[in-house]
Amino acid sequence: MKEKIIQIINVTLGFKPNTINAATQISEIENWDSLMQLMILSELKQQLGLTIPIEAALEIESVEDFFKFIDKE
Amino acid sequence: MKKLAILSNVNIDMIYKLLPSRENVFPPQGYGNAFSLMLDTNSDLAKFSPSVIFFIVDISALTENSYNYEEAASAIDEWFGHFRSCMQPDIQYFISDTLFRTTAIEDIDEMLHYRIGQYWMHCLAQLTENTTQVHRFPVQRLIDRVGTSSFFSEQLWYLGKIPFTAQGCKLIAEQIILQMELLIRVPKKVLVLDLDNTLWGGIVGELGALGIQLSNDKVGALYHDAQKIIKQMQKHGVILAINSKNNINDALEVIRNHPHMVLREEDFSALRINWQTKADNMQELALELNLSLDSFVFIDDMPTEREAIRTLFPMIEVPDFPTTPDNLPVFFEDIYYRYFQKLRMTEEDADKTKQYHENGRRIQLSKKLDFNTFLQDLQIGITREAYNNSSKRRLLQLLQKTNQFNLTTRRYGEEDLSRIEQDNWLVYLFRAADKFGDYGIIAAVLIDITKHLPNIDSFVMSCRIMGKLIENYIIDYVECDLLKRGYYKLTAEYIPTSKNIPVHELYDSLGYHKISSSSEKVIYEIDLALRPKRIYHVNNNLERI
Repeated sequence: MKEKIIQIINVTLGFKPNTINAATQISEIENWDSLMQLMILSELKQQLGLTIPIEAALEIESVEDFFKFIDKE
Repeated sequence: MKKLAILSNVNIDMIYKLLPSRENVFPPQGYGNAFSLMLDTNSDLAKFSPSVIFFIVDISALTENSYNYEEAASAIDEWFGHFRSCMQPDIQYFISDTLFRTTAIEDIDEMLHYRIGQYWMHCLAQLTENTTQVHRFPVQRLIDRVGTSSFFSEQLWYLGKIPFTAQGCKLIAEQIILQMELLIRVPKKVLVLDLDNTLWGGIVGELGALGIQLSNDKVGALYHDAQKIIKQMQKHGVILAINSKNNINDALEVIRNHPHMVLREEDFSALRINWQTKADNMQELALELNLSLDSFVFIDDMPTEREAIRTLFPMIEVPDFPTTPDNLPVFFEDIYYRYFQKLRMTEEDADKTKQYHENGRRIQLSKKLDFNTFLQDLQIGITREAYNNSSKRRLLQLLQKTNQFNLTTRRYGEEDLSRIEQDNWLVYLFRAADKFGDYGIIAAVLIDITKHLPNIDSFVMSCRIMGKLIENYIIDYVECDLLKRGYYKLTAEYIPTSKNIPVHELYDSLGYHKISSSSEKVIYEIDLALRPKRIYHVNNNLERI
């Protein structure tokens, strides 16, 4: 599941595979603005059924933060 | 690519980002400010000067303060009122056709939400009826394809005022590109269909008419529904033809008598059901329909047949066929949008099948007669048609689409016509009919009278009516009218293109004298008092004209 999340984020940002990893911080990636963050949320929900509550979505700062919601599924 | 802008009252930044080659796209400047951007002559939008504007309108946001139908309808009226007052003559507009968010409680509000959507469509339809500049932007079709839960996102709405999912944004961006293409592309005209495993399942020669798969349930229903889509295409002006290797009697037994056959013999403008090669049949179909092969789309389930046609006639579109019939109805829907869809339907389009069908009968007739008798017997009638808002749409279509019988290929748009009207050019439009039916408006002549001598600036005629000496009558008519108006000489031009070779000597044959000639242009002149007698067979005393 974690691998899939990383892969979807990579593809949505338009990067080559393995450009980002679990430790990547959103602030490190220039292209990863709030608009891209919304697209990533949408793709994760559509492709993996991963639902992230609105309030929690606002607090995501790194790739690893997305993993927290896997367990809650 | 034309310059385009997307204006909205919701966040469409993602849609903008998903468009390729954004140098021709106006970068969104917030949302909900469409009318102010349009009205301010100093706005960045005005400076960008787009030729196409897409409106992605969230109707729920427009009507959010309305708690009953009357209030909502009044908000919608106001929007369309603003839109009308902002319209510029040289811009094409696309307006989204549906509601995005569904928050109303239907049982409380007596389907308020549904009625608001209906009213929006009603206003939009009125607008698209009355002007050739406004088009429906078909969002509802995209929603129907993937379902509302894949298209809309509550999460993105509350986080960023984006009503759409990532997939929804992608589909809208793709649709914008498709509609931009539709503005410039020439649609195909003929859908050539195979029969076995294409219009029905199985091979009729082996299974018999009752053994094939064609019914109203299971696999047979897929073919039945696919035929329904094809029938709809035909109703929208697509010409249908059959190119099939079969015993004609086996095939006709199904076409004429099978209870679940939707397409019947009269729906096809030409049939080639035989054991000739499909390539030979294709050439015969082009001859019979009097249309070039580059207007054909060929559908066949057999890869070898498709490959043969692709190799021999690269100008024919030959899409791959689905490997299972499961997606057959959707496949044919896509065929329509990819190859045949037009932005605008005219009465002439809807009547085309009838006309080509009648043309088949004309060919049968012409085999037995000489040319002049054939033309006399056709009882061709030509009438001049008034130039008004309704005929203007057809004039634009003729000017923009006619390739062969087009002496100068000047692709005038709505803006040019406004200039032509201001300059008081003479606009002649002609409608043709014969004993088999009405062709609608088939020819136009534009005379520029602002110069020293009047000049035939444009002369276009539909390829459907070529070869009947109608041009002789039309030129006679125009010249006589000019004589009555006190003109004594007329000039004309021929500007060669790769497509208008059929008329490269038209003015010579009409008795015009060459004044100058270069590879770019030939200029002619005629003394109107010394016009030669020209042959035509036009009978204008027919009651139906």
